[in-house]
Amino acid sequence: MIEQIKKYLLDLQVDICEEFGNLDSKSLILIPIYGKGTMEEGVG
Amino acid sequence: MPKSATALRPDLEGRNYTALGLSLVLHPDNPYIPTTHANLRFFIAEEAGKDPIWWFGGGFDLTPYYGFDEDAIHWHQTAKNACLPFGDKTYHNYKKWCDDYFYLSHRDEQRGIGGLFFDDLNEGGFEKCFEFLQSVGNHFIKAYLPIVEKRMNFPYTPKEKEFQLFRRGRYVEFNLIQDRGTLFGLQSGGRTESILMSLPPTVKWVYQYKIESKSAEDKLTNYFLKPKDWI
Repeated sequence: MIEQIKKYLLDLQVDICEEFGNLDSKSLILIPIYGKGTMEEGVG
Repeated sequence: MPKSATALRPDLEGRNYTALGLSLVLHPDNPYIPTTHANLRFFIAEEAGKDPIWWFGGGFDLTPYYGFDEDAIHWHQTAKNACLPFGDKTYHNYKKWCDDYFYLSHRDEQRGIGGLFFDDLNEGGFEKCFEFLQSVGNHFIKAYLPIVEKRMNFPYTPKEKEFQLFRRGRYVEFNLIQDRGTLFGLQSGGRTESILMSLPPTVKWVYQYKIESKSAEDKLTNYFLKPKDWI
């Protein structure tokens, strides 16, 4: 479930960055924006 | 979960959760190109011995500085196309939710001309909801890119740039004062630089900005920023 959604969102992000030219897709893709690591800690 | 989430969903209190999301805001330099925002998100909240609670949310919306009817119609028609396979009322319901959500109550003003906004979506099962999320995501570029292409070479004056900076101030006010997503991100210990990436790089506050009657700026305020059925 999660992997499926993650793949879709990452692919879409790449598409959007390609369409809009100079956006740096790498700057956002690899950063766990709200991530703290594990389910037990609560990843939000 | 932080208070900003459980205030509206007390059933989530005490659960561990995972959130996935793609959020973007584009603040073009040219005031003839509208600012846009899109967000697609998924949450799952779990607790031992209980069924997981999951839902999707998101949408996209447009904030012009100089309005064009044809752009607004194209934007909303594309939003409607994204919703069409999912029922007759889907566009109408999520368009209204968008108008209601992106409203600056302290200014009695819309942030922009709206689009789609949905949250807590889990009706009809995971596959159907995920299909809807994908439809919204797949229609975003179709909705925004033609507007950018049409307006990107429009020449503009310093006065028009000034108006864009003034209107961007309203965008900042909404995001910092009212937006639940911003609050959620900050309360959940999120990465502040990412959460505040929605703010424009340059902005201006002008005390009691005067808008000339019957000007393009007046038309934005009194025509485009009033919720209406564009299609």
